[in-house]
Amino acid sequence: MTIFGQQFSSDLGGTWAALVALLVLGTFVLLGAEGRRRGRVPWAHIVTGALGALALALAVLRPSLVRQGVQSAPARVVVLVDASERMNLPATGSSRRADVQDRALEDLARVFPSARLEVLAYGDHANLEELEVARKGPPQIGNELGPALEKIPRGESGPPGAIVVLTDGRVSRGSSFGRAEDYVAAWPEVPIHSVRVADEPLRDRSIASVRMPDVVVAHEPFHVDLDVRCSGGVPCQAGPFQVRELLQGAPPIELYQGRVEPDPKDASMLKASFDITLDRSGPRIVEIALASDASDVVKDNDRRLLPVGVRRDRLRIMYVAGRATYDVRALRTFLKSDRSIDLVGFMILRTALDDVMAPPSELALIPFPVDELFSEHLPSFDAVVLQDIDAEEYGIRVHFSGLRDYVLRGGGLVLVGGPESFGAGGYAEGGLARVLPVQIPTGKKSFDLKPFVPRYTRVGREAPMLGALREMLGERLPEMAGANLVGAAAPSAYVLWEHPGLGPAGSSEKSGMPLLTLGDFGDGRSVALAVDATHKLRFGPEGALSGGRAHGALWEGILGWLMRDPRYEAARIYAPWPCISGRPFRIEVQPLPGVTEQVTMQVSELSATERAVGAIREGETRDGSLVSFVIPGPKPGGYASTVRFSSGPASRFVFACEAGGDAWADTRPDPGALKALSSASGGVSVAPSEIDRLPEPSGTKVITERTESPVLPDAAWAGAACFFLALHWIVRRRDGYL
Amino acid sequence: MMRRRTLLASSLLALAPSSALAFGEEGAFHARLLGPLSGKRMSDESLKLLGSAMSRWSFELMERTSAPVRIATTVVSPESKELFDEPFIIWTGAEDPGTLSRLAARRLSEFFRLGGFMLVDDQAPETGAFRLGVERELEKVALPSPRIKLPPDHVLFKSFYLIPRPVGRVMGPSAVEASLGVAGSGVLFLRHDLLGALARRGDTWASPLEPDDPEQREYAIRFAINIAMYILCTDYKDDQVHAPYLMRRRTRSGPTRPR
Repeated sequence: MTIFGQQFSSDLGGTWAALVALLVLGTFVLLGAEGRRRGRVPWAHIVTGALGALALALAVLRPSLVRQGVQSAPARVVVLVDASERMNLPATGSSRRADVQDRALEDLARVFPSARLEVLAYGDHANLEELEVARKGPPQIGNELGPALEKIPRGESGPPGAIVVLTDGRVSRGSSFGRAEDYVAAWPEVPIHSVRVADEPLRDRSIASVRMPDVVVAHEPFHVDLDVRCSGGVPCQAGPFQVRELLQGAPPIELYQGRVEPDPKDASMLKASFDITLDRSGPRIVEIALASDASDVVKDNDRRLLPVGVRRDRLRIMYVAGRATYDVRALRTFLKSDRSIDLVGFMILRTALDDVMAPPSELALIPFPVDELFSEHLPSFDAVVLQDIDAEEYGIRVHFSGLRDYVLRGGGLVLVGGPESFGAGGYAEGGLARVLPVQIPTGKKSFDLKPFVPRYTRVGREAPMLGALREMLGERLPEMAGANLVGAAAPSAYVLWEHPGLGPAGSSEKSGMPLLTLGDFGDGRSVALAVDATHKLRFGPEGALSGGRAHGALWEGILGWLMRDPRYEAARIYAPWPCISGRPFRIEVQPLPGVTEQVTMQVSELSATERAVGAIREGETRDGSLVSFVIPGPKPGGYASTVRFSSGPASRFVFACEAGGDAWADTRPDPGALKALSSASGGVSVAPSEIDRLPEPSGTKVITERTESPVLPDAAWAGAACFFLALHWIVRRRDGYL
Repeated sequence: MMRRRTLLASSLLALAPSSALAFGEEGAFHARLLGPLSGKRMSDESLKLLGSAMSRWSFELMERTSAPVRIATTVVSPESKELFDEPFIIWTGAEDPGTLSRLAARRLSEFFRLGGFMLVDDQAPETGAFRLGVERELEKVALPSPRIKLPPDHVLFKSFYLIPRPVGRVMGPSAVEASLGVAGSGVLFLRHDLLGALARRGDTWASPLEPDDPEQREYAIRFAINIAMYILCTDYKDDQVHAPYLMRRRTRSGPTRPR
């Protein structure tokens, strides 16, 4: 209903009106003073003078009549709903906190029948969102209430009549709520009510925090501080925990086992401090898990899966060569020339059949410590290079299963060709095949003697690891005097160089035998190089063309790829938000410039069984520079996604999915914080069952209609002023004042 | 049973001087001879003796070590691009070698820059004419480093055999001088006529030794093998000292987790 009212107005401001009134008043005073001086009251003078001054003032002020209609609008109430992952924690019984929020929203509509509710969700994103959009979108770990209050839009009718917050009071990642007055500052005149979606702490023991570096150095121990919180009356007693590194295609590595002990300063906390070491470089997933407790309501937060970037200050390489050749000389010289490499090299300088014509005391030879190297010390190496060495004769074959596990657990392996390598060296049997990128035939003929020039495959031309070599020599490669006979590439492998005149062993093809082949196996990688004369890239026509740098370029690429150097990956892969189990997780792939092939992705669990997980290709930008994949609802665990480009270069992205993640590190609600907030703002804090206590704000008055008309035309006021002033002049003249 | 590499080497010998190589032999040790400089000529007899010495060197290396060898003798002109085909070359003679052309000097500089190794073997150390001529001509070449006298504990003396001093056809000085660079490059200056101790004429040694110590020729062979292993493995034997240290260091600072 519209209510109308009238009032006078002037188009001049109040200051001018006051000034005019003063002048009129002054005129009256002057007229009065004149009459007193003359000894009698000149009423005619006073009346005409006053009327003249008044008419002149009205001519200046031009008064008008204003008529306006006022309507009462429903109060605007902004409801801020915490949309963080915390709301998936239990509230009471089997209800989640988000369920309590939903019921409270329904109740608010009932309790505030006349109000206009504006429901906005907040989390750790930059903007307030619609609740449905926020709940279906990326998971939000944080719940930044302070910034959310500041971001409430002002609205056309001014500030909201009230703000209602639906949360449990625990702000982002368990940090303290802070001063309630700071929250109120954004809307000092507006009451902030709160509906506490959880009041009582859960019976829960959780990993409250893990303090450790995001990036560590391989082989170097680093320190970890573990804090465990007990809440809801759960016994806070010392208990065991274990730390493991999750691997692809292999059982986890046990990194540490220990016990959390009571914190003497805080009876609700348990603590542990320990050192662990990661040996494999690249992105790794570390799992920290408390022993299970049957009384624990939230078991998911007893386990954390933490991504750790492992870099190396130095690369540790075991290099074993079966014979001393120029190829060995070139490779060893390259490895030695790199100051970032710790090289532990062994060369077989003498075979059992050699007649050295001297007693051992006159020889500078030591026994090849094969057992010590391949058992005790193997895990400490980043990569193993086996060049032209007979595995059978030198006792390496008995360590094939250990070498296979070493690769599956993240190690690098390079098998370099030669008369004693591949099939001739006994590598076809003994369990190493699972981690070799090519099949090795078991036939009598193990190498071919026809000279040839290797050729690049299509994949080889696009592989970033050969980019520097191709920049120096283009398609040109040195002539080889022969090659080891190998079979087809493994399914997960890809071939960069191939034989132009020989097909894979065992096939009827006339060309295409893999010569330089790369493969991902479990957490590690391996390279098979079925030729033995890459030294010609240093010494030889091709070496001379590149100033000897081509050999280094090739091997830098091979070792760099083996060690997952980002420069040699075919794509940059990243996730725009953290992975929370049950929520869609997106992975974005940005191929390197020049890589134009079709992108596919395979995702598998980091476990011995490597269970595959579905990834849906969501789309790509028009120019193919960014391709997105979505995993609809992963379970908690570590995952490895392998991105492949058609038949070609593969890159890997490792990630961990947690239930709740940091948002579940502290399950305790903070009702006191919400009560303080509401109290400071003049609002009311209620439990969901008390929501009827919330006062509905009164409606807002809104002017819906306004008309303005002058009391008299401007000319009438001016004419009246002229008339009275002229009359005043005549009266004064009549009385002889002029 | 004939070993694979012996078989390959024998087949190569039969094929010589063809340049065709078998798989596994491209990286084999190969003693190449730097050809005479412009204006100079090597007699057939001299070439034959040097070829026999280099073949003997390769043969002994093959018989005593794991290193594969190529026995065929190759003479490489210092002005040719074939100089860059392999990292080892021998410059030997008894007289003043003549003058290196500017092209040859440039090629040799590039050879060392790529990591090549040269053995300078004076066949007539008593006159010193060859040595002085070579030293004069190498002034035109960018050597890997200034010449130094190698200490007795240098890896050259323990690269395969433990030997106390250099030995050749003549006992010569007890130390050798060398210019050694990074990446295996270097020049080794011998005043012991090493190839003279290895040269054969028919079934007998071509040259008597001075002094004629009964074990001198064996030590000359051992020294030649050490040189070959040094060229093939560079300072590998120094690594052997480092390896246990690296392993101990790894174990000491290693992971705390059970393995």
